[in-house]
Amino acid sequence: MDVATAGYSWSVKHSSELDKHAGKWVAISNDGPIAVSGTLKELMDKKDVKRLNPFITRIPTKEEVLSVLRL
Amino acid sequence: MTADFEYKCIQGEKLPLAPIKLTHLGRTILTEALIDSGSALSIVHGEIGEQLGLVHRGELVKISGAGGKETVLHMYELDNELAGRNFKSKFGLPMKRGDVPYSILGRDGIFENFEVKFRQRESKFALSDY
Repeated sequence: MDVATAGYSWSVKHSSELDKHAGKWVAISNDGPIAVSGTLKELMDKKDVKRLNPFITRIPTKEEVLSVLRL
Repeated sequence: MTADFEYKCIQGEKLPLAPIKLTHLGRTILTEALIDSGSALSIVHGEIGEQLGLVHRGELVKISGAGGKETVLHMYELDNELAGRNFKSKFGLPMKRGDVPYSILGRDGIFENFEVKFRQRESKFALSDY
């Protein structure tokens, strides 16, 4: 399992822990989040994110999740 | 080969989000995208597109959702790594940032490369090679 897949697996298992970051971008390694930021550019510029090349996800808000379900 | 995934619970809703590596001109992002059989096209989130160096110059396409909402996309061909396979497919970059809250894997590209099986009762989905 590479780092990216490990970060994705962590995010699936611990998804409810990520809800508090709604509207933000989160970088996740195999041990959990390593960085949170309001924009993807800020997140990608962080030293640990550049070094580890982790799994990246944006946590949608409740309204955004519902907007997709209503499509 | 078949890759199995669990639905991801976000804000109390379960969604089929698959891990995908997107590459364009040497820039790579490891992220996830919603598997959406209702979408003809795949769409990359605007901020991810910007990080990949997409610059709103691709072929223009206008799409409408089932709810009637229109979105204008610039189309690009990206390198993908999904479920252990590498392939190229087209993605739309929304003209307006925030138009699409997720990256979306639609029928063109993804559903042409994989047999997609949703196991709703188990909250799982599987991607198999054609």
